[in-house]
Amino acid sequence: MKAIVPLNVAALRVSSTDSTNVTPRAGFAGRTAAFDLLPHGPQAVQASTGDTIWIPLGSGSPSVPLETGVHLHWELPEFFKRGQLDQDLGAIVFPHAPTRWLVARSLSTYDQASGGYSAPRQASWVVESDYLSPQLRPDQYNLTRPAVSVPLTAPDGTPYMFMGRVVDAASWNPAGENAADYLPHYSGPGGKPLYLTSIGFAGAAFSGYYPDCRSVFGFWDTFADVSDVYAAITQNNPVKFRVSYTVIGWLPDAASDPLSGLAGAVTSQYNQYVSDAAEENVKVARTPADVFAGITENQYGWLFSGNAISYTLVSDTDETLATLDVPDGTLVAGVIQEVVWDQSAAPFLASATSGQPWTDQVRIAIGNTTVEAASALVKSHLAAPGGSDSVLASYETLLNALQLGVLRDLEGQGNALATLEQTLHERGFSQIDGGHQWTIQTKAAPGSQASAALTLPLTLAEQLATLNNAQAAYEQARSRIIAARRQLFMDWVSYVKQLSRKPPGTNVVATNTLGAFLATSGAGELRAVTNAGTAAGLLHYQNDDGSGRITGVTADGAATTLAGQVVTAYQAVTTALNKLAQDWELDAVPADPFWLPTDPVLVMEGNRLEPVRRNGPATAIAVRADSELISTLRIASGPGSWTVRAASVPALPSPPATLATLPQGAAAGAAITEASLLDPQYAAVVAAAAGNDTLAAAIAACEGGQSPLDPPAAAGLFGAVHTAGYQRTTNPAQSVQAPAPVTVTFTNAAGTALPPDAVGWNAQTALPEFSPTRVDPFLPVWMTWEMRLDPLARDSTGSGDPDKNYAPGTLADQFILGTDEMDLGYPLPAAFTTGQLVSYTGTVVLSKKPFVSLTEQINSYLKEFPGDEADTELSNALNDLSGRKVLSQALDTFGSAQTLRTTIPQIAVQNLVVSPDPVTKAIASAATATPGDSWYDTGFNSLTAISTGPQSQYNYGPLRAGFAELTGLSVVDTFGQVMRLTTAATPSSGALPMTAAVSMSPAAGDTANAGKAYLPPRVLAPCRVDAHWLSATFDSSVPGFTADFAETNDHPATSPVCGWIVPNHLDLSLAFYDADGKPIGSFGLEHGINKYRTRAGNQANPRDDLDLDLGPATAPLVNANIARLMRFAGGQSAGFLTDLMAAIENSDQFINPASFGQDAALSVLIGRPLAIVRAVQSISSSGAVLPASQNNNTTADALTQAVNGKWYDYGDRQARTTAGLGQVQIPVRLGELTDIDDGLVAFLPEASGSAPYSVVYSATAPADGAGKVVRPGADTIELTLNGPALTFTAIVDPRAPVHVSTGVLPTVTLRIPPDQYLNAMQQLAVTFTTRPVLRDQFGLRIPLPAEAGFAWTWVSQGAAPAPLSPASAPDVPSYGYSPQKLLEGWLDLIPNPAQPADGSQP
Amino acid sequence: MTMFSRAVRRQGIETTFADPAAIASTLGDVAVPDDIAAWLGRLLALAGVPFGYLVPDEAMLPPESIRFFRLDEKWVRALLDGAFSLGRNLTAEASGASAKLDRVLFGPVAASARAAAPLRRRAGVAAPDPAATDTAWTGFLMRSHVVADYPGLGVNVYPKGHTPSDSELILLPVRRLDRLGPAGDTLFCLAHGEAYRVDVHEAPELLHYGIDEYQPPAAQGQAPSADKQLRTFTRAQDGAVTIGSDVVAVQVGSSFRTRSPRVLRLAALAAALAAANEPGKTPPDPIDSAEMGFAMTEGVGMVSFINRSTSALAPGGTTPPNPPGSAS
Repeated sequence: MKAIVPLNVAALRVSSTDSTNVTPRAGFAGRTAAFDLLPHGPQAVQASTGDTIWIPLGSGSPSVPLETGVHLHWELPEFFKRGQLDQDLGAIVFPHAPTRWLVARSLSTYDQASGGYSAPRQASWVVESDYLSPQLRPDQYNLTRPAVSVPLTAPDGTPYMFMGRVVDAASWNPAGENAADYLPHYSGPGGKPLYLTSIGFAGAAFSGYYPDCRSVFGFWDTFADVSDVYAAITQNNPVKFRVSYTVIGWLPDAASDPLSGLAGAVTSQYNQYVSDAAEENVKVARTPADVFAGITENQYGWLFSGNAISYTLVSDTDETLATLDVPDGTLVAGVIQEVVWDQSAAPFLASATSGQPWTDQVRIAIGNTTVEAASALVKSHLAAPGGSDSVLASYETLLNALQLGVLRDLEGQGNALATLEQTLHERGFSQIDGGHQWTIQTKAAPGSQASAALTLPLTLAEQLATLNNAQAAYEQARSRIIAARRQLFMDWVSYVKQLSRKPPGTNVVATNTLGAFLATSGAGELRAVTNAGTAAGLLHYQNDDGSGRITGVTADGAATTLAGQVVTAYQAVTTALNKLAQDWELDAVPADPFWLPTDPVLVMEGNRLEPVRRNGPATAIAVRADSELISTLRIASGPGSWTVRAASVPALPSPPATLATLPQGAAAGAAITEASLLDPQYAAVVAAAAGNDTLAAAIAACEGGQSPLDPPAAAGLFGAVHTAGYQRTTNPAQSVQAPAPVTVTFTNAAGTALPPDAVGWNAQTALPEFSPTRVDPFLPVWMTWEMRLDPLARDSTGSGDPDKNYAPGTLADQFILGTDEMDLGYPLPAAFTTGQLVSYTGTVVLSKKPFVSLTEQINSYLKEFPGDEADTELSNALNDLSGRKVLSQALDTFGSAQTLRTTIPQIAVQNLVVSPDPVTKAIASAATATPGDSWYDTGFNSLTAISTGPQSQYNYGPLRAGFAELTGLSVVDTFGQVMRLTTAATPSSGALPMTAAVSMSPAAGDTANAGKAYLPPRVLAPCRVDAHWLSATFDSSVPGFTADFAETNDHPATSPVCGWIVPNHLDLSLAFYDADGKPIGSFGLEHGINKYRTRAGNQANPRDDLDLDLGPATAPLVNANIARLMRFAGGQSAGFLTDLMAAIENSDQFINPASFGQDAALSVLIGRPLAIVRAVQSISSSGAVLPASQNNNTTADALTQAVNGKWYDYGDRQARTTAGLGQVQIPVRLGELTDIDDGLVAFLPEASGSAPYSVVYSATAPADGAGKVVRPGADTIELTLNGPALTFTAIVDPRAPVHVSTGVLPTVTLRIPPDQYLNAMQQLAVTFTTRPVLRDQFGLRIPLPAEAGFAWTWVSQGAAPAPLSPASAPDVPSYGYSPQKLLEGWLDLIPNPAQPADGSQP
Repeated sequence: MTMFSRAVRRQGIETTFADPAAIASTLGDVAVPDDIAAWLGRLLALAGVPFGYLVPDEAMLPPESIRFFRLDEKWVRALLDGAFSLGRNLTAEASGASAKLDRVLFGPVAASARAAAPLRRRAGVAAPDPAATDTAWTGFLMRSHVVADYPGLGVNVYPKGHTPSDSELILLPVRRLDRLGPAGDTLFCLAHGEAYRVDVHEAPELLHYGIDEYQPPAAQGQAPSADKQLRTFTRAQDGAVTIGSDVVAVQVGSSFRTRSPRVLRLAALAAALAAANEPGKTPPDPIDSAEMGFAMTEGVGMVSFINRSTSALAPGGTTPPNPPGSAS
């Protein structure tokens, strides 16, 4: 059984007039990749670098314009376009694409005399996508079809060959193929065998852009085989005909077929499930069909019907699989039918202005993300109610919330708004893999998830920290190595370009000097790069086949390498784990990612912008088994009925004979037959087979899909399948009344026929928004943009770099991170830019993310929550959106251009022009020298420097900020058609007006920058805020631990809680507790002074001496950090205590932990225990790498400086050529007052030494306090990139996390896991100040609730605690009790020592 | 700035907490869980309050005494506040957010506690629904042998103008009527409303045979001296009994056993009564059990206390010290 996957086929007609007046002109773009232009040989005048083979879109007329005829392009199904990250390589790996394509054509010519079409004539060709040849050869009609040039060395040494060819199907002979003529025979630069993928050698647009993949994923029908038609179309003679094409693709090598392992996967997964079910003694509920459906949908995005699988089980008791039949091969198949060519209507493609591109008037919105920009676009349509922009901005918030799925929460959940803002802000960054992190968890039971992380014994926690530190050092080193390799490549490109340039010209750095810098004996950049690789070593992970869990690590290289150190630490942990003999295991989880700011996103809306979703809007697509193809038509008309079986109608097309010999032959034949049964062109043949010629028109109407150029066009089955929300049914039927009452049932012999998916069944469609006669598609695939940036100024001159440096106070002095803001704003007037506009241009492949989701989301929201308050606004927005055509696209490369880098086609390091060139040879050989670590795998040759020109001159801007304007936009379609986007009004500045999302709007009142997009400051390197708890204590018996250590795991391995504070606002006292909940003493306001009192009932300290309770500083009796904090508090004035108490009390209203209901700690019932924790914070970039400047305009610029300074190591270079980026102070805000799920009450920055504290910062501190408890300012905490970490002591409500915000990076949350704070919280000895109470002659009797597991005692000043019995019934008089005494003291509720220590039942 | 901005939200939080009315409108209806309301309700009836706090010195309630009181609303409020202090932060700050929240919450909680307070009697003659009115609670403490000896003592409490002597009778609902301790001699009664007249009576079910005077015998073997005031009656042929207007004193001392001078010989008693009823007749007609019952049965005793001077139960009476266990 074969799977038939829908293939979208598009056809573009190019008439003779088009081919002379339209396709060679500015309205068309040509190929972008041209490896045949690669300079080589001594005659070449420039270097053989990747940039030479890239023809930028819009750089002029296409070199190979589309020729007369019909051009077909087929869009690969999404499965083949989806790459997956290979963990070991760190590279994206794409599936094998189909390489054999049968193109079957049916053609009927129109006879003016008879007023009808002739009988269809058939022809077919085979496109061999991965065929390689040194030259292009003409076919038997002397026409040369273009093919794709690829960077493979031809037998004669030419550094390129041509890929793809078209063979007449009749002469095609798969058996006679010579393996050396096909791509899999060749290997890539890393030595890996090559195969055809959706990205080919050119990149993401390769398979989707016809000029780049002609004769690979496209076909030019020249009509040369039909002489009358050919003559007419090439000579502009009158002719009318119609053609239908069926395109069927497959992979000739069964092993690389996506479904080759499907049966095995279904069998093993299902049998494993059955055995798991038996082990857990549960009934088998899933069937093999369920498993099959799960695999095909999740792994392939393919939805099969139940008929695509048949199986038998061993027996009723043994439910494992006995036999299984599922699709074992893949055919992709699609149809474009009824393409009508009426020569009298030519030209087909010309725009209103001859020779000029199409234009479209659009509205443009810009945001950090598609979500934001889409909301801003909708906002731009709405009139401001009452002229109030703030209401419009509120609509925008609503729409953002809707798109992120949190609209409903805004009203109901206290902190949903804060979460929404954090999420929106975070979406403005892309995640960069942070590597691995190790964690210890309980072993997973078979078939279930592993448990959450654990709290560990201290020594094990320290060993785990050692391992994680080693792992992080290794990962950072690898990131640094990758950056250094890329820098080496960029330097080499500069070098080889100078070396090869003829005439040589003047160079800023002498070529020889540059060569020596790259590689010289005993030194040089290459050596530094390879040395770094050697020092780091290479880590290999062993994975468990089933779960993918990492079960071991090994290292290439010595134990002293970073990789070796990871292995050593890994072994230490596993050894310790084995000794503990717990049911624990070591596992790796993804470490915190780094965040790279995304490029701004444009959302455009216009009449002619058809969103390109050629493979449908859904993530999964309906796929059929070949047994479900339509092969029979049952026709009923009045009393008569006829059954037409395709197999018995010789006039229907059949596949070429050679095809029948292949495993795919039968299925391909069935697909061709089905296409003819659905094609109105064959309706007459079908009618004749039924024996009733008069039914032909009615049968055609039941089929549907006729061209609008050839009326009448009926909806038929084609129309039904293309209706939104169509649910496919088996054996669909269609009825028409005119021209004759006929019902056609589309079925097959088994009665299991399903119609093709709409994606794979296409026809000519009218595009009235272009012109009344336009029927050729416009399918945008590229976007080119031009932008103008008024960038952030650098104002202090640095040493060694002529580019001015950023002042350390750039952010702190010129921007504000408002208490209530997520991002950095600026004060008016804006004075942080240079005022010198820099232009950027870029070309991006349009994303396929469907904007339509916004309307769908609104619809489903309205359906789900009728009567919601937001419904009116949403309905308005929906009405406004309906029927609009919208495209969304990020301005890719905008960010990298500012670090003076741009992408370059990846070709191997080679010098095809100058020989000998020992430098190039050395680099080329080093790149592939280490097995398993080819530099090409990590894209070391993917970037090139923008070292000259206006962008590089003084505009290196790794700290992106400023005001941006859009100056030009155009889109290019699959076939190369260009459309310029304009706006209704264009101001004199030349910028296109656009609506900025709130997050990118200039500050209110900033008239100078109105209409521009504000780019808040962003670091253009992957960075992250490293905020970690410090362990509360440490064990120095583990080597390397002499202080509390930073917990890198989200779940700290040991508790970070150093102690507790319980405030008593009535008495104005703060009670301090040790980490384990034991009371120490309290500070209270007594007679206007800050007085320390020891804990209730402590007779050992009658004089309330703080030092006696804390012990000596060198050997404290309590947690050392608590002791330090208490000494600090003890040394403060009464005003300090009052202020701190006020800050704590005020914070209460802003803290409402989301998880408050889960914490059944007694202490929470009687007060508000606050945990004392310590944290370290820093900001690091991936690999500690910052993007060094590539400027090379003068000898004072970065490149010359690096060469002259012999800064071989990337670190040396970065230190001096990043415009002082590393010194810029980044303001950090701790805690969120507006997020009620934020637990920070106060924090104290720590200095070194034994008295680290000086000031307490709290957002809720009184405005006019005594000065030691103050509100944090914008510059209270400032961190530098890769700079030293700052340590804080914080007073937090442990039930809520602490947020760390910087604006320039996503907000980070620090959370204490409940298992770590609850235990101590439940152990907190709770003392109730109680007064006055009466004691009668029989003793002290107080009505007390009996608390299981706890005992009550009475504590009075200077007396030992006296137990109290909750059982005594004091409300019954026992006379003789008088006289009574008034007492003051404390009630103490202490856990019973007999109870288990987990305090689970307080 | 949008209406959803963080600044607006923060201001919203601050504004809400600045004004108790805003807090109340944000909170909406405060629902107190039933079992908590019930517990607080019992506390309102002073259940569980140590006796030493109600009567700070027992000399204030000597044996064979009764003391009327009126509950001080402030004291009760403090009591409730103490119980309610769990689960919140106490503050000395009169205008603090926490204090305002308390202020808003106290009303609804106290109201649900009041509604859930125990109610002993709500008969047809009861006062209007007490939950609807917020009148004073009054009551008395009685320390007497009577309490110990007559375990079923009952109490009727009437407001002024609605006693049995008035035209419209209203019984105040009794919130609590407890003998303190299983064999205690102290009775605690708490009524909802201003008590004007309090009737304390034996248990209504305690109908009994009774005589009017009894003197134990002077010496062992002698008869006691006992009187019975007998209301005479006549009997018709058909058995109907008619009560006469005469009351004759009958010496029934000889009807007791001499060995057990507290045990009656009923036949002798019947004979004595028969003779006394018809003094002239010999032999008198024997009386049957119905007539015997008629002659000997007596009702329960009742004592009425009437608040003549308004000061006794007026506000401003003795206030006990702070409620116990109010954590501070």
